[in-house]
Amino acid sequence: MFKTLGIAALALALAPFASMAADGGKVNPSGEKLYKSSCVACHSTGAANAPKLGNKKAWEPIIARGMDEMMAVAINGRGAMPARGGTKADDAALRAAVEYMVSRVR
Amino acid sequence: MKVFRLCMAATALASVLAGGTALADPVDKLEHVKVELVAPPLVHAHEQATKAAPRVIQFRMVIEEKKVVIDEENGTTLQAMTFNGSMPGPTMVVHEGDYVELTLVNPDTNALEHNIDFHAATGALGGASLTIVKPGEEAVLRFKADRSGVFIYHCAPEGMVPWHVVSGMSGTIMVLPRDGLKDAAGNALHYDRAYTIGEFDLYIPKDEDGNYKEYDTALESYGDTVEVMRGLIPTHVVFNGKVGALTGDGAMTAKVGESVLFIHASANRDTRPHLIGGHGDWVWETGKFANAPEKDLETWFIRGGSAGAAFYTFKQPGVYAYVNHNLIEAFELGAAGHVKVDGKWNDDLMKQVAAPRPVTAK
Repeated sequence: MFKTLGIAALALALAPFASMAADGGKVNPSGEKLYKSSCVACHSTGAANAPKLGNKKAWEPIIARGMDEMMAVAINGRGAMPARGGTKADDAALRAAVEYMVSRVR
Repeated sequence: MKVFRLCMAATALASVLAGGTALADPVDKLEHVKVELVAPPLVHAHEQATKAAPRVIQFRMVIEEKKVVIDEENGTTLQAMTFNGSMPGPTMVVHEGDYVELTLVNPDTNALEHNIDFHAATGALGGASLTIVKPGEEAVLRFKADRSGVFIYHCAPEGMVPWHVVSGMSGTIMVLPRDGLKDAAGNALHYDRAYTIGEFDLYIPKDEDGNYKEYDTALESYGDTVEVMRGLIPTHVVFNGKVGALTGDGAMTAKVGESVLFIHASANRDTRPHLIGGHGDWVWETGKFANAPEKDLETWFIRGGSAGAAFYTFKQPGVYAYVNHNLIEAFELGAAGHVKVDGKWNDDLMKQVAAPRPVTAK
């Protein structure tokens, strides 16, 4: 499903993460909190084919598509993943959770 | 985690084996019967002994995720997942040799993927790997009910099986022998009514102040709930979805002289049913009717992950309590219900010789 989307996004992708790293690892703690309350349900075990936390091979192509694409999935859902990961979290918290998951494969 | 890898291999194999179903199938030619399910503790109308030839019995269940109140006195809620909106899911009844054909519907109003594992079925993780449905999908599974007994069915999505089960996704299928139930000597046992009781061990998280937490969605409850589950101490143990579900207006009823079959299912955790003031006349505590039932039981034992059945003919009127006889689980945590029985009192079986009175001198 990912194949139909964003090769173009690939180039864009690298910029935000470069800047994130340059911040000296500024991490929003609400990301880990949201991950551990909800996202963990699928992303810790790979349930329903979710990319597992810390699995570099699974995450590299996803990260390569960029934050906008990852946020689109986080907000709207895709496949077995429900919209907003099945939570009522706001965009900022979702973004922080995505950043947390990304940080674990870096 | 290693166990999960093993499961995945089995799933893949099962999927391959289930592939070739396009050819004409003799089962398609059997009589097909649609059965409407009813909410527990009732069981849909069915024959016991039957002269019918094996048939394909068609059921439809709709999965419903919803927040439910599990303790009305305190307003405690559970982000529940259910088959057909009830805990337990409805009981299905067929006869040995019939085929069960279930349409499992996961409406797009749900958030999660689900499936179903029938302990009565053979292969493909009980059907679980052939019934994985995302919100907005449905699947149809057929299996041969070739073993008699009461059997659990439950949701079993890979990677999050226990959570879906303890959140409410289990029920019972009863496969009756074609000539009905028999006692240990082979005499026919006919019940006048059947009740189905699903016992649920619940794991509701608390906040720092010790109050039960409430969540907006099922997934938001996941992380905290798993922490409580890992402690292996349930916060509530309930029959049919909430504390007191089978009391008051929800009580089971019977009459003196009537025989009742109590089907008791517990998908996750052991329990020990007991009818206060009564007995199990004939009990299949492991739930499988090809084995001789035991007689005169005070308390029986349902293994976590199984269903059992107890046959009892009421001899006295009154309100009976039907409980899990770990009495803390019954009266503190919720695993208790009532049976209201009408009829005439039998002084021979029990008589109050003297009502409570001051102690008399000898």
